[in-house]
Amino acid sequence: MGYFELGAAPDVFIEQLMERYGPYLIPSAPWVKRAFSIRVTFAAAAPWVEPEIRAGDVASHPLRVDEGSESIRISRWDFSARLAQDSRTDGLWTGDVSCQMNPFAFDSFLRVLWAVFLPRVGGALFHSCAFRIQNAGVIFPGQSGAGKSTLARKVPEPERILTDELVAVSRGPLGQWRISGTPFWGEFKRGGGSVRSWPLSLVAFLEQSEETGTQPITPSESVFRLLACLLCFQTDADTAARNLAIAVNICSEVESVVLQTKRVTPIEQIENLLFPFLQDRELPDAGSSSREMISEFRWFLRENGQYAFSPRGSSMKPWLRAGDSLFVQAVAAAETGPGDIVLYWTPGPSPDKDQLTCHRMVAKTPTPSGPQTTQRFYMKGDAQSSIERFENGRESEILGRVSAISRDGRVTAVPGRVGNLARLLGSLVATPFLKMVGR
Amino acid sequence: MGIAANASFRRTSSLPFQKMDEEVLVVDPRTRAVHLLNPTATRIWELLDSAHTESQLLAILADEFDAPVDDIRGDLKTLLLDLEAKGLIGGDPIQSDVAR
Repeated sequence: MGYFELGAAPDVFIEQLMERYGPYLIPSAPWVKRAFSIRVTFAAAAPWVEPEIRAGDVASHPLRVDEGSESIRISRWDFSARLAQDSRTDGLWTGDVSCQMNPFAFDSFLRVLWAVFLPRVGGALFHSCAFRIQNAGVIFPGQSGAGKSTLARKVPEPERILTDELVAVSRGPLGQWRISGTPFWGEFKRGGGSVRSWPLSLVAFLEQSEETGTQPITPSESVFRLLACLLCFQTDADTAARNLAIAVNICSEVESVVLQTKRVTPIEQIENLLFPFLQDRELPDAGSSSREMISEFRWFLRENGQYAFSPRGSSMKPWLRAGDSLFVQAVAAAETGPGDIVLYWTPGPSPDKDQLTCHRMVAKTPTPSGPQTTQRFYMKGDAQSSIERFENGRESEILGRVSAISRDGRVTAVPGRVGNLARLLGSLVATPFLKMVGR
Repeated sequence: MGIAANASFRRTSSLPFQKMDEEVLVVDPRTRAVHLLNPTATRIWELLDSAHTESQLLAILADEFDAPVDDIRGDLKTLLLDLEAKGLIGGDPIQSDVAR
């Protein structure tokens, strides 16, 4: 998890970045544990020049990554970053990057950054398509042209596909290898929508063939193949040794096969070939953090415009009862108002501490935040006396507004603004009374 | 291309490697090449932790694999030249200077 402070840039450019990377963002609360904090300065994109001159510029400033124990320098013709580790702030890496105002340049920088930081927590980025079969994550490493994007296109359900280009592999909280999607898709396509991870159950190396089938391979053969697909930009022995250890650990713990398919092999046939090798596919997914689950909920909510949600807890009693289900509408925070029952995401210090809260909005007020003015939101559970406040997108993020409630098989629309305000008033008055009588 | 009789070899010390079962993976960070050595090459890789001449290796391998020296001489030579060409092993600096 890292923090980016984006410098001045035209709105259209920032919107472009948000569209691409937004699904992988979480509220930037200061208490969220992060690996790095980077201030980004966008420089004007390079003016058009003759291709020969551009090629010379590129050739004279190739990508260079210098990674030391206390500093990291990353530079290329279109970006330059310098990070230093601050021992006073729990090992947080801080620094600046100057990047051309060009989405390809920024995307390349992020790929390098990801490839540098992921191995520091024992993971790595691999050139690989990845999707899940039930709860089992499968990666399909392959070089360019191996058929990663072709395979990803065959999977009919978008929520099952993690990536068609670069997959992140790292250990989960239970020590098992897990895979998660990245914003880095082939041909700069946009795909994926959450930070959800899945247990890695199989490594299937893609091979285009006239035959269709699977061949189990030894762990050493698997390491040999997997290292060829590991994204790494350093050429020092320490990094090579670290990458080798990561690949050895993955391939020692996860079964590997070579998957031979034709371009036209249907996905059902491919999955049937892989099924016998999948470990624990019938087990429920244990290990997804609440952060991952909320991130996925946000994705589905945005994709569908509305989504059902079953709240727990008693903070909205008596309006909400055990067993109720809520229908939530995706709305922009600006469209919400006092009285509305709002669903919002509050990150915790670690991914398992994130919370999804459904409370009634008490008020919202404009608040100066640097050169801009943002809205500060005040929320309250009907049965609670305390009021939470946050800046949207910072301490918490508003995901949607409750539009209807399902109770005992009947769906009832949530009353409009007037009804909601009446309930808000009631909750503000009733709470001290409820507390007094000990409920 | 031949190998001088008293030339000795040892593995390039800076290369990360990992043994898995009977095979060894060697990574060359300079070229980003990954090499997977078969069990025989793995045994030679292990022996070349210290400097050995071709004839020393020949004697050890003939004994361990219970094979006539003449049967494996050609394969060993080919393998040593291949490993050297890939930068995985090098000649011992002192002896090879004298020998070559």
